[in-house]
Amino acid sequence: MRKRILIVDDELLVTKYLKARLKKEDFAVDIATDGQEALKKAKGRKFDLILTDLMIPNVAGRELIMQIQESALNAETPIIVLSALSSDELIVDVLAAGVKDYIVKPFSVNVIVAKIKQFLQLSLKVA
Amino acid sequence: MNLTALSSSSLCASLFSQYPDIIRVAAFVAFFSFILIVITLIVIFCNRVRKVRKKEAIAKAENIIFEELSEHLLTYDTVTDIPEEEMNETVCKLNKLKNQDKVFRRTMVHLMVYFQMNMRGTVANIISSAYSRLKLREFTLGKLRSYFWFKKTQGLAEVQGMRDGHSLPEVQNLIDDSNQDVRVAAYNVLLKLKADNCFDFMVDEQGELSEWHQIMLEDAVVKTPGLEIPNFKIYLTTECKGIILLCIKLIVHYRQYNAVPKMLSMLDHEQEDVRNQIIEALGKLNSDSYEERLIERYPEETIKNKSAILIALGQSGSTLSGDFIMKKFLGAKNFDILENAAAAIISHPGRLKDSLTANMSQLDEKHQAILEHFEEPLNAYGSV
Repeated sequence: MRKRILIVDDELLVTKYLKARLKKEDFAVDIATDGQEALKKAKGRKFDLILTDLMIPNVAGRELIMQIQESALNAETPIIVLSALSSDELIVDVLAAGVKDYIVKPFSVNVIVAKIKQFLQLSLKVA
Repeated sequence: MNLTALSSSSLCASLFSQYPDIIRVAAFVAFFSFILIVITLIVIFCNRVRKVRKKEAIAKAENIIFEELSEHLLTYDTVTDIPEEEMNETVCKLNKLKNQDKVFRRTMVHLMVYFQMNMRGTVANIISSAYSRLKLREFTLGKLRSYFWFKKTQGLAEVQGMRDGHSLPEVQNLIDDSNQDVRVAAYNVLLKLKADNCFDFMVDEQGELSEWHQIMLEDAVVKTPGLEIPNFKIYLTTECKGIILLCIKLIVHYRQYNAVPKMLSMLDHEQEDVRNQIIEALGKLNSDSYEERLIERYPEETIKNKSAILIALGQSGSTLSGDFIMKKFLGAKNFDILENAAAAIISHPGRLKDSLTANMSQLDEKHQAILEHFEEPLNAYGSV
């Protein structure tokens, strides 16, 4: 069964490209362009991994991460943050909130794909 | 036809002839205003329609270009993996679109800059290669040679976004531009692209750099990884106040303590805000031997700078600074001095506050209240 990933970002072209690239790697991809849509999707189905930006409309940043972690279906889902914000304090804060990794934009798509594969394999082993 | 026109004008004339002049003038003004309002509404409507159409055209162009790029080029892992034939075919298609109309050309540049700014690695390399093959650099360089300042800054943003080192000679030509926004944008590009002698502007700039320009340049210096950082004290001798202020901020950021003697010698600078920033910087650097010079300078300074001196002395934990702040706090006639001396007491690492609490009952109500105010963490933070 294909692994399902949720991408949360309001940069439409980036998400569109990431979706195409991850589909090529045989992942099923859902997209949410704002925090509310992301929460709705996270409450509606189980994802294997969530890739999210921090600066998105409506619910954003740590608040979004916390609400996803409190959701019944995706409490254990690994989250990777993809953001242009690069201050050390913020990265430390977000990682402390239980996020698996923090990738700063501009990013390399090959690195993201490698990290996603790594986390999915790890979560498979743990399960 | 002529008869009808004649009859309607004569009807109008006869209709208004029975009214006084003032009414006739008012009727004319009302009619004229009505026509103007109608014309304005038509112009607004047309502009909106044009804007919507332009937006649609851009979205369509963006979609077509994105599909071409993502289906034929961005699916590969490296630039060398792309078969020559596919690369040529895609470039040929995009070239046609580019020459078709300017919306496509602009969108193409915009999209490539967007990808370059958001992604690195393979995608960035492929985009760079496509940008080069499509000869889009020529359009960007055209903007740099434009007569209009906003076109030049647009072009500079594109050079920076594309991280296009080949365009640096053209950027260099703009550092002498008469428009300051263009000059600062050019300095910014030189810093971001780590050009040789990218700090030369600190010697050459003669205009007044605004706060905003200083923030932009500080950001460019601080956030460009791998930039070779010079010793900023060598630029403190410039005549340009904006550059001096920028250098002081950078000296503090990079903790360049060897600049302290030079900054101390500049404490009698003729400009008040330069002295103010030096005082603040000395406090933040908190190096040895700045306190005596600040205390010496205190009587000659303005209230604003006296306050800054008290805050700067508050950063040091020495007895000398402690005694001085205490003296000013107890003898203050001016409220600003009293306020900043209180803030300095609270922030003083030697815990001046502790020695005061023992004698708190001897202080009058005003002194007690202001100390209590600055004991609130938010207030102390706000003032220091």
